[in-house]
Amino acid sequence: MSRKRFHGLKRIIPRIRMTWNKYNLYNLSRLPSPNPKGTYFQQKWKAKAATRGYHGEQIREKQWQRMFTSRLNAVVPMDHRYLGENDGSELAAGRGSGLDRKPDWGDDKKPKSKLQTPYMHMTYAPTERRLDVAIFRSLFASSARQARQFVTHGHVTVNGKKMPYPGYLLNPGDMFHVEPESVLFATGQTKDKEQVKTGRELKRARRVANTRRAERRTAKREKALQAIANKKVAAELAAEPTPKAPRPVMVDETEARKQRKADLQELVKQVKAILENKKAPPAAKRKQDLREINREIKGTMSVLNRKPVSEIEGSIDVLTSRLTHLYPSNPFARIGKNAKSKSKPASEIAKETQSSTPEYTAEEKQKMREAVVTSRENPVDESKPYATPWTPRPYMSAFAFIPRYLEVNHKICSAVYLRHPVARPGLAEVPTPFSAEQMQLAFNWYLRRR
Amino acid sequence: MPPSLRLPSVLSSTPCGAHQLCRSTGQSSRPFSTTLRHDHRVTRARRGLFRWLSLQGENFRNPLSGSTNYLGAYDNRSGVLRRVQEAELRNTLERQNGEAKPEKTGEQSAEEKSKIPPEEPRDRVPFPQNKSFLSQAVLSEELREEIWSRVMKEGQSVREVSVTLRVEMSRVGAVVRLKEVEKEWKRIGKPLARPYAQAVMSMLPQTPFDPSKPDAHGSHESINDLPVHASTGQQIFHPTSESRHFTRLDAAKVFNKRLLPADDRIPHPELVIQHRERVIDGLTVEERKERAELRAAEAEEKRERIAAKQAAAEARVKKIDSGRWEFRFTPINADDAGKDGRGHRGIGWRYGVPLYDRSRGQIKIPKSVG
Amino acid sequence: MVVKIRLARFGRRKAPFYNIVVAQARTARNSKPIEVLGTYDPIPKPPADGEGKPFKDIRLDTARAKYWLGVGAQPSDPAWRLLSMAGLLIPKYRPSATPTPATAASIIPEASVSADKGVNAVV
Repeated sequence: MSRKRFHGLKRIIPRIRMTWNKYNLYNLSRLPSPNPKGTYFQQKWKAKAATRGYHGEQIREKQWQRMFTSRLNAVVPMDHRYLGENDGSELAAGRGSGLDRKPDWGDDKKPKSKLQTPYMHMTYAPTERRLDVAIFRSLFASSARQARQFVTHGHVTVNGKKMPYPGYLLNPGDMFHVEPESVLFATGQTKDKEQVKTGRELKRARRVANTRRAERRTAKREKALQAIANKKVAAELAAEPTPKAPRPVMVDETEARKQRKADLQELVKQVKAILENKKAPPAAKRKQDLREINREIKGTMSVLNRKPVSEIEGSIDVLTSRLTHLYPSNPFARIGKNAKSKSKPASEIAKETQSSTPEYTAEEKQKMREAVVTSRENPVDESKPYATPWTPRPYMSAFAFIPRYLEVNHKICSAVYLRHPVARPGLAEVPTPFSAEQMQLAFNWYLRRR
Repeated sequence: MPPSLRLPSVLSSTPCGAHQLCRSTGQSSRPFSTTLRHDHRVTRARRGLFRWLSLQGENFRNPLSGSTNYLGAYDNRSGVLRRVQEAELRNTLERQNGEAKPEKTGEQSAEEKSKIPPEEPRDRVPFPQNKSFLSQAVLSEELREEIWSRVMKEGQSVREVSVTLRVEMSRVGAVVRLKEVEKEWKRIGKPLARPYAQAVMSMLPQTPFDPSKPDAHGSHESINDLPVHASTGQQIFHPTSESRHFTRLDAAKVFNKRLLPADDRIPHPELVIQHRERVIDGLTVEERKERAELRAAEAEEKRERIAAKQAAAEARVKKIDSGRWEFRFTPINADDAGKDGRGHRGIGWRYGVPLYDRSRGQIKIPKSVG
Repeated sequence: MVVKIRLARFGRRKAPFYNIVVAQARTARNSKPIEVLGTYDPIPKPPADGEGKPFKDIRLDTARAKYWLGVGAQPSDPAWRLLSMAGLLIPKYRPSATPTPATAASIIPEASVSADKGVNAVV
């Protein structure tokens, strides 16, 4: 389906969809208030078509009809003081004998019962239970269809298990998790053409380098094997002491090491990018420093599995801060922007880096730490499928809300489905762009008594 | 109908290739293609879209700093925040009424102009047609941290934290679960999506929490929600004597014999009891404490009984370690299947009963994940 | 006719599930047995608290199993393995490996009783 048809710019009454698209925002802004015209059947039909275009547009009609239920969940917030002071008899006592008086509803002047419970807005509550819709509602995807794709592509787990079915109905207490990379891709700004091109080139170069390295390695191994076969030094080999069995490592420790390795590789990439930059080649002295850093990184990498994790973390921090000091403006990154630090002679900087931290003031340290943190968290990386450093996509803020039946932790891209959505006096928890009248018509359509 | 070819009215006399010509006529940049570039053809609808995007829509391109930024907060005609409009109106009215002021307010107005008035609930309507859906506040980062530390560090019960911070019990549990995962990620050094989280939190309304004044914390949501029971949906005419003391308990019985009264169906019945003891019964602090302890002891006993039952069931299971697996032998009674072996309580795959789990129309995807 | 204690495979493809049954030896595997003694789920489940080994669930009516062994029902090899683990029989294969210290004490007396009662033909 082409995008134009999907959003229906030409329509007088546009279709609202579950996306953060600008087309959709425009349609929302020009959605006319419902005009009761035509027979009751026609009104119901139109209301059903409009509401279904938003709620579970990706679900087949039959499937939705099976999900539909005429029972609508609601709650009434109770005041414990009122419950404690009255046992309910005050509502029944003296009716008809002149004792009729309005009950006193707690402290508020306005009786809470005046607010109507918008039951009709709960018509599509069953679709909110679906995994794909819940992912969209937790702001992990920019549209329900994208959320669906994340699920089918295996980027989503429910309670720690991979869940490939977008139609999985969440139960209260289910925790779902979406790959952070997918979430960043979905909610981040898209790359422009140039960035796409460079990213593609980067990936291609990486792939070529990897295959070459693999080839070289295999060739070397074959050579070594041949040499061994020729010399027939089996006896010597037997005499050699066997290498120690690797220590059993705890699972999360291995995980941590993996992470550290990724960090180090990232650092190497940065340094390499700076070194190989042809537009603004670094000064000779700077090059030396960078090479030294590179060497140290490699040294750390070689002892990655032997040293304790904390020590490695420390060394990574030191290396990152050194690199940041060399390129303070945009540490991990865009290479053209390092003119600022060039005012000082490079040898001085090198001396400073050699003599390490005690010379910095507290403020500088704090700044440096922040720079390190941001550079590590939001780096420039052309190989990512979204524009880096990450920024939210345009028009996101108009759609950014989280309904109360979800509890979301965005840092880990996980959320818990607390309970089914409910209506309460004055508020309905199902997010829907339609008015109560339209929802009522749609509800009546699905009651099957038309 | 063939697509209408649109040619520029004046063709330049200089020799131009097909490529150039195509581009100028709004066709595809691919030289061999003859299809019209529909995306870039400007229709009336698209003109309207872009006009709106360049005027009113410009507000939504980037998040509003320090506030939410929903469609319902703006006047769609002028594309100005309603609250800003109203503030201006108020200012002009004031100026008209008292003309002596402008000297004093001159400095302030410059500051105020740059600052947006604080948002109200009606500004949190993402869908202008639907006034009964509001973007409700989410827990702020400090509040989440506080909940986690109260439950995990201070060892308070979920119920207690829920009452003191006015957050639903299920939410308290979820916050603790998610925080635990977050801490685990931090411990192993897995990168958190922090820039994303910051961006999202800046767009959402939040329930603030000031760690220096934990007692002054407001309510996040109503914690004593009574679910509307299906059997209370009907209206019943129930004649009863006027002298009868007809309480909630009796009313519940009329609706449904097994329906409990509201006092027992709310999540925090202990709040009602405490209030009754304090205000209605007028008990002293010691007496209330005594009763609370009694209740706590009762609850504890109940919990222990359940735990003991579970432990006994666990003890009956025979565990045998075979090196790779553990085999768990649970004792059962084969006679539960009944005389014909078809009883409901019998175990194992049942004989003579068809299984429809793979037939058409059955839901094949799992219903729950352990 | 020989009465056997054996496993009847149910469940699905790649998701086996067994009934431990007492049946006539010549009857079909999944036909209705004389009695269902229990079940055996051979797919290991991860431990609930994340610690320890994955476990396999077996439900067994020990009293009925003892009765059938006593009247001469002959367990098949897999059934023998399960019953010996439950402590009703002497392990057939690798007899030294299976009885763990925890179960050894409970196994010996019952096993010797059942061995006396005509199952020794199989042993």
